Amino acid sequence: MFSIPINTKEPERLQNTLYEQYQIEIPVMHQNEKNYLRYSVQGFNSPDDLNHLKNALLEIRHQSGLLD
Amino acid sequence: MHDYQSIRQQFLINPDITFLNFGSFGACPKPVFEVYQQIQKEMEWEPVRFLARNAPARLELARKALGEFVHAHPDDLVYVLNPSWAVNAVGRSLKLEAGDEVLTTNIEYGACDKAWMYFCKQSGAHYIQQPIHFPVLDQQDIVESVISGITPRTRLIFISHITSATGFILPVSDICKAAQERGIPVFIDGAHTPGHIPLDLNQLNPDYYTGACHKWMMTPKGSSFLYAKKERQAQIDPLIISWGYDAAQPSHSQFLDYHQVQGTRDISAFLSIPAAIQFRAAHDWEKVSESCKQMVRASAGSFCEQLDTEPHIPIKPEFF
Repeated sequence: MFSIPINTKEPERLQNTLYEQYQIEIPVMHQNEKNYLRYSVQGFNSPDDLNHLKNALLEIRHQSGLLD
Repeated sequence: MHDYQSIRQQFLINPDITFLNFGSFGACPKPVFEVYQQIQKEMEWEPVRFLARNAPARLELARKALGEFVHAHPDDLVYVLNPSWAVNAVGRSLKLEAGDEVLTTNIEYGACDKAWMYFCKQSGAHYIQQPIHFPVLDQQDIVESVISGITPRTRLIFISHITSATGFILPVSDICKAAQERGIPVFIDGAHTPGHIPLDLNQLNPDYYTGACHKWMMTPKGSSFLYAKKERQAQIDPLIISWGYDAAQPSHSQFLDYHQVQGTRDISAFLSIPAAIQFRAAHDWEKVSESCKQMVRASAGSFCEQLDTEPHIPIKPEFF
């Protein structure tokens, strides 16, 4: 489990976008004015799952204002 | 690399979803879930025998299995629905007084913060959240941040074993030692610990510890435990006062009577714990778990690079 520090002004919309557009279930955590994307890896997760997340973040960052 | 394709077949998780949020509520493997449902059927088959007669002996078997897994005496463990339950039971029993302090960090789980803030507000005590500065340089920094918050009014140190929002291991063993040298009891919130990283309660020796079994131990949901050191057990009142309080036929342990008898409830998730432990052993889960951690450590830095952020912790095994 690791929490990636992220810069976003819309944490909820980011989490919803990841689920609705990319079918990725992942929490955006908020604590002490900072946001984190926390991913857990369990036995059923493959390297493809992490690549899928990586590509989704790349696309979201380039195509929307959800990630600075 | 573990065989994630065959492992995936063992879970009920929706295959259309890329599921990267095991940390919130876990997921139960099919064979364990089947045992759970079988136990529920037994309960419906003969409810009275199951709940009134056989429950104590069956719970004992489940506590023995858990005790072996977390290295604690089974009589020092009681089952609770979730870690919040355990925090509420202990928090209510401390009988905080005006001016007392509960010492913690500013990176704890929100629901536990709320519970402690409630108990402090009720009594006029203070909830002291020591700041943890990011990026963390090493574990010793965290020990010092916490311990430097001790005052003559500190009644308890409450600290996560693995944090929730920020997702990393805290140096609880060093904090326990330093606190106990100063006579301060320690309550560790290990919601993310059992089954995730090795846990040896005998060695760690906290005053109180709570862990969720339905996360990384992969039991059905609603199964967690509260551990209390023998000398602390008499102080903890049951959260729900029921037949176990001032019991007509007390068992050998007031701790068990108080906390195991909590009115009519479904104890099937607790009783499924031995099956979950067997599943891990049968599938060499220590290796699977280590392989998963390697995937996390290998990817953590590159996610941060991709998003132009700095990791808030060193990418080292002691933090994962």
